[in-house]
Amino acid sequence: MGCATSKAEPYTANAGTEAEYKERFTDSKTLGQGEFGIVKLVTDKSTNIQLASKILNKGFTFKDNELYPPMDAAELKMEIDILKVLNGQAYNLLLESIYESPSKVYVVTEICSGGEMLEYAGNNFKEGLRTEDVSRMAFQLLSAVDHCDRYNILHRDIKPENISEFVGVVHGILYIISSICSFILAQPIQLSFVHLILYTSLLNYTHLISSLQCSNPTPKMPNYA
Amino acid sequence: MDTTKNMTHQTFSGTPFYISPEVFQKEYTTKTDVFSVGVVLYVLVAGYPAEQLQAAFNLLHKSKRDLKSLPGMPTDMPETYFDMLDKLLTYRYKVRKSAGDMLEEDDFVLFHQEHGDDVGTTTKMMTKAKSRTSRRASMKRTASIVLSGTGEKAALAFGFTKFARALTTILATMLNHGDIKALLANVDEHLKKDDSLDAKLGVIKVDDLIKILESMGKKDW
Repeated sequence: MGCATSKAEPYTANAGTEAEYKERFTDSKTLGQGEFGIVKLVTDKSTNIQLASKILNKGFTFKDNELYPPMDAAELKMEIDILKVLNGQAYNLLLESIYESPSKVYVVTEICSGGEMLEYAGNNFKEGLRTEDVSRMAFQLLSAVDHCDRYNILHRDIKPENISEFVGVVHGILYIISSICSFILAQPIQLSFVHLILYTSLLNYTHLISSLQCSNPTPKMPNYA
Repeated sequence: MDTTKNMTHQTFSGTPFYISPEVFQKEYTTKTDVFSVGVVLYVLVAGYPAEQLQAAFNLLHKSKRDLKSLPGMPTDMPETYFDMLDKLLTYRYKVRKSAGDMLEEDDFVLFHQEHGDDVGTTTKMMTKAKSRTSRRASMKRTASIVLSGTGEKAALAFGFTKFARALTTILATMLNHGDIKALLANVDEHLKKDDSLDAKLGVIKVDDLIKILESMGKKDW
């Protein structure tokens, strides 16, 4: 329920149109809802592959009898730029494509349906983890961090809740997931921890996505258009 | 709201637990994420030390410490695991290894490949993955064993995460935007006043949280 702002400038470069988005994807259920908009499970009509679509309002959001201001365009731009640079390689979430209308931005990404790291570990290793399992997870996490390192990007909020199992051709692949604003370029910023706690929990859509138990595995996707 | 004794040491949210020492000094480098990965790999095998969060945090943020004494650490962790953890959790970021260094040289990180178990580490394009042939002869051995109690501890830790999240969600639903802001200010104030709690950790007991809510006139809590 966003109302369009007076800003005519597009938020994203080379984004598709809303019509193209509707043409390509079928919406199914809503995975999560937050201050800036909602996250939907979508299916690519041509490939039948399931993806996550973050639908962000450019204007104010009216929810639970409250008006919420829109997200910062510069922050969204940075997040998208970073996801593009990382290109879904080395256990980072792949940005599939972006669409934009005058009032909304659609950010379509891969979906991690295997659950959060600790959920994955608890469900799949009832007898206990083996040393090689821990080693493999360490390798995957460090590969993702190393990949970010190459572009001078840091995640700054790595924790088990932000790591999810990507269910593809094989199981047991962990991804580090970004939420809006969690990735930054390496530069000092001001943080207030107490505030960070509550706000990240309120704004973080990713945990809602990752709690989804998907019946269809999502194979690896090609690069975004 | 249940206020039984076993909840008193549980935290609002564990976020700052994973944060590196330099971040508390407002310094960010790409080594910051390396430290967080270290804490994640500790929680993965030992569970979330909700009851002894302060003790665990103090140990992690010390330059000289015995990582084997971390709360909840399984007794059968191999030496190579502690070697890895010690590198990841190096206090001074300038001497901490980078993720690339770890991928190239750490015996525990590379152990699963040695073991022939590289499912999941070869399916995606690697940045610096080394092939098995390049391994040093001096590699420290890691035994392939089941680590006692680990899966169960992970499940418990996940349960705790869900609890913390549910609490946040309930708060977000019950309070309006202004109330949340007021609550955050009060929590801030509380952490500044109370020396027994480390403000750095941003930890607040559920009992104290309820007191704050009551002082705001939220009697339902």
